[in-house]
This record gives sequence, C-alpha cells and structure tokens, in this order.
Amino acid sequence: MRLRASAVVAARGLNATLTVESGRTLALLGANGSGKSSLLGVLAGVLRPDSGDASLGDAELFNLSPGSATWPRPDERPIGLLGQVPMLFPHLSALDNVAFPARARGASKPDARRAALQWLRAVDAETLSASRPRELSGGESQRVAIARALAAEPEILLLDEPLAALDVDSAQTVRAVLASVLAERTAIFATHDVVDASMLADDIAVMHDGHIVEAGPTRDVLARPQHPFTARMAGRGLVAGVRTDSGIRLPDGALVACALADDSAVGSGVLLTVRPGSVRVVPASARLAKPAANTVTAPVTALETHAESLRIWAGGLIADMNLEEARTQAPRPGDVVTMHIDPVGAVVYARAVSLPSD
Amino acid sequence: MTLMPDVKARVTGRRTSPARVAGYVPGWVLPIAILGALLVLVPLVAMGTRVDWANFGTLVSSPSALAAVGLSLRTSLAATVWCVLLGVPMAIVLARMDFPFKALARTLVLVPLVLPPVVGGLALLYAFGRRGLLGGAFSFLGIDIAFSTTAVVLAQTFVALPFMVLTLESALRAQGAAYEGVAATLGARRGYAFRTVTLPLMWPALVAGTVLCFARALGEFGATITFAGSLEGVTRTVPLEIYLQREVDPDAAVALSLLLIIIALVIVGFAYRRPSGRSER
Repeated sequence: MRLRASAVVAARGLNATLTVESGRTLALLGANGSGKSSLLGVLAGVLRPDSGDASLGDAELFNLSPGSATWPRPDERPIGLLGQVPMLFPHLSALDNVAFPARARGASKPDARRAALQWLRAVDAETLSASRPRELSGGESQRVAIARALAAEPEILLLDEPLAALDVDSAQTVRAVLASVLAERTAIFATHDVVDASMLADDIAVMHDGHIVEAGPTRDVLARPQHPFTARMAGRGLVAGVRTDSGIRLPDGALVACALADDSAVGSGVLLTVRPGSVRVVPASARLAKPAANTVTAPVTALETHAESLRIWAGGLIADMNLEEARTQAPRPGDVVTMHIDPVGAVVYARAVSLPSD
Repeated sequence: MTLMPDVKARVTGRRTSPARVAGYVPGWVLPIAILGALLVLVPLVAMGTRVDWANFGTLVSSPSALAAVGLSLRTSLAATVWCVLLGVPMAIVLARMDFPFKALARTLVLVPLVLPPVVGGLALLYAFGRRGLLGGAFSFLGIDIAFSTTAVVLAQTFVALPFMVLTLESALRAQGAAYEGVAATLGARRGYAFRTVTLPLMWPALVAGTVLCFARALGEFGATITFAGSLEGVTRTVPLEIYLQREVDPDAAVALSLLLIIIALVIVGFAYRRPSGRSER
C-alpha cells in the first residue's frame, strides 16, 4: 500500500514529506539526529507532530492539519515498528513474544503459537522458540524481534536502525534476514549506513537536519547525488557548474570534458560527481598558475588518516593520497590544494532546480 | 577468584548479577551491614529471653488473645486488599501521567509515612467520625464508621497505602513505558498491554508492596486506637491487646509480641521466596 506522509515537529526541527510506493522498501538515509526516528515515531503514532497528515492507499492514517485532528493510537494503525534495540518482552519466551500480536488481536494461544513458529522459521530462528530473551544474543534477539514485528502483519513496516547495535557478524546475518523479509514488502528503513541502504532499499530518501533533501531510486540517488550531504554519505565528490558542449565549466573557469548523463541544455546548471579513485592531488611543484582543465583548486576542508592512505576533502571533491605522498606534501586543513579529476571516472547530469540550498 | 563468575557468565551467556561477585563490594560495607542487622536482632533476642516458654501455649490461646489474632489477620488482609486496589492505580497515575501539581500530589500521598499514626487517627476521626466532615453523611445512611472493625481497616489502609504507592511507582518508573509502547505498535490495546506486559513486569514490585502493606497493617497501633478504639473482638487488634496486657499480664504481652513477630516472618518469608513465580507461566 502506498504511503504518503508529511509531518512537522518543531521541537525536533522535523519538517519532512515522503512517499513510499507499494511493495518497495524506502531507506531513510541520514546522520544521527537528522530526524529519522522522529519521523518514524510520527508514522507509528508514538510521537504526535505539531501538524501533518498521512495516508495509506486511499485511507487516512492521521490528519493534524488545521481544522482536523485525526490521531489514532499506535495499536489502531496498520504499522509495525522495529527499533534499534529488540525490546523483547523479558517475561515471555521467544515464541510467545512472536505470538503476542496475534494474541493481542484475540487469537487462541495454540493458533497464535502455530503462526509464531512460522514467523520464527521465516527469520531462521525456530530453534530459539523456547528461549528467554535474556538467553539470546543481540543478533538472535533482533531476528526474533523481526519475526514479532512481521507477526503483527503490518501493511507498512518501519525499521529504525535495526542493525546499528549489532556487531559485524550478527549484523550480516540480520541483514540477510531483512533482505529476504523486505522483498515485496512496503517498508521504511532508517539508517545512517549507505551500505545498508544500498543493499536493502529500492528507494532512498536522504534526510538532513529534519528535511528530506532528495529522494529517488537507490542507484540513481547514490550514483548521481543532488545534495552535498548525499554525496558525502555516498563517499563521492560533487561539484556544481555550468553545462558546456562537451562537459562542465566549474566556477573557477576550469573545464572538465566527460560523460554527459542526460540531455541537459548547454548553459544550464549541472553537477559533476566522481569517485575518490578518479581524483588525485596535484603535487605543489607541478601546479599551474591558471585554472587548468580537469582541475579544482580549493582549501582542504577535512582530512582522515586511513590504514593505507590519507583521505582529503577539498572543494567538494574527495581524493586519496598514499602515505608517502602524504608525508612529503603534509596537507593541513585550510591549505589550498589542486585536485585533478580523471574525466573517464566523472559524470555530469542536470541539477534539480527546486533543491533547497545547502 | 573474583574473575571466575564473570568468565563463567560469558561462557554460558548468562548474566550474573555484579553483587554476587564479592570483589565488587567495598570492604566497609559488610561490617556496617552487620551492625545494622544487630540493631534489629538484639532487641528481638532480648525479648525472646523474657518469654515464659513453659506457658507460651496457654498465654497466646486465651480467648482475648485469640480474638485479637483473628481480628488482626482479618483486618490486615482486608487493608492489604484495599492497598492493592487503590495503590496500583495511584502508582500508575504518578508514574505514567502528567498533570498539574504532580509533585504536590506525590508528596501528599506520602504524608501518612511521616505523620505520627495517632495524628493520622485523629484526622480520620475528623473525616469519618460521627461529627466528622463525612461522618454526618454516613450516619444518615445508618453507617457508623468510627469505633468499628471498618475503622480498623480504614486506619490500617491509611498508614499502609504509601508503601504500596512508593514501591510500585519507583518500579514503574525504573521499568519505563517502552515495553508498553512496543506492545501498542504490535497492535495491543491499552487494557491488553496492561494485563500482559505492565502487570507481569511489575509483579515482583507488587508482591513486595503487598508484603510491606500487610506488615505495616499488622503492626498498626496509633491510628487504630485513636480512630477505632479498643473493643475486644471488634477493634482490639494484636498490637492493642499487647499494649493492654503490658499493664495487666506482662508475660502474656511478651508471648503475644512473639506471636506477632512469627506471623510477620512467616508471611514475609513466604512472599519473598517466590518473587518471580508468576512470570514463569
């Protein structure tokens, strides 16, 4: 069922509108504190927004627009919410945790348990059915919690960072379970991890400071980001410029001739994105006075020392320097560096006009 | 040695409470704890030395003693039931709801704890006595509360109720409302979530509160004698009987005191031995 929602929570700086198409999983990608949990809380009915409205298919989910005050309780909504922490009921076995939603709707104990066993099987956790929550590991608990959320048979499943509290191995297991569970299901998956988003979601909505800054099919959004924040999450360089016959003219006048992803008009605003692998820092000795083709000259905004390289952010681009180069050049934040873009790895595409400025 | 339980806990995947590991407790704790225990135990032992063991049986089975014991058990039980019925909603309101003057309400609920019981008895008299605030209305209906068994139960409930509210409220706050929130998103209505989630989770605290209330009701003296008087078989509970016998027959008073202690110990011990019995269902 198609979900369309908008909500304003002033106290948390949330002002967002989103749409989830029926049968698709939308990743709500954003940093901690960007408003993902608040938005999910509003949809689930545990956080009442100052204003907003939502519909599920043709039915109204809630409506707090002026002159209307429809705000159903969480238990009256066909929406499931799976949190970062499994929150299994400690006094019930894994099986009875999963049987809980059916029992709450009035099913008999044997019926509810029979169904619960099927749901446990779906998350590959039937052997855990007799266990108490305190006997389960983090990954096991989260799988049981997934089964429990599914057992409520929600029309939309909301997942709030379900992998964030897990170690690498359990996260991998649970991710695989989620991948099978989310197929063909309408779901919103809040995450700060672009890998989780790309593996589990059909679509992405990028959330930044309480707003959805861009949305679209996962591959498009990550491969051709519109917003600098999205580019940062995707680990891509992003610079804006003006379309020319053969590529893009950057603000300092440098030209980059590269692949054009669409038929944007010459002279229109376009974006160039490029992976760190296709960008290198030009040594100071080889630097030219004038803006040369395929280069961006800008101050270093951030540095990150990795195991085998130094990652440099400058002028919207990201470049990796090997450690030997890093030692000789020793760039520091604020130093002006020249980055060379390999045109083969770059792509230019139209800039969405209605984008809020960064 | 001190590492062992921790390692074992990790291997078996079971949690061991840190308190079980002696190494985590500072050295000064145990001596002071023993001192505290002595403060409680020594007077009890001292009283034990005064018991006329030879005649213990006859002393505690005199008609007046039996009447007092029977009355005490009945009234304390009734008061405990009232504490559960009234205290559970009060604790939930204080722990889960927001309303103006909540801090004041919480303070008022706890007033009977700091009030001398005799003053509590006077207050009850002014409320429910024949000439009290509500007494007129009750006597119009032909009900006289003061100096009746009802008054005993009322006095005991008055002094014991804060124990229930205090115990449950702190347990409910510690537990938080997160599990109820989860239950709601799983489609459980509020009543169902209360029965199947809130109640089982607060069960240990409810048992503890109930035991405290019963113990407090059983020992209640000041409010009872002020508000209910001391009428054999009607309002003269064991503490009142002990107080009277102390003048007349000290041996009987001591024997009854011991009996009261034994009853209290049996009930407290019974309740605490199976704190999580319910949750295993």
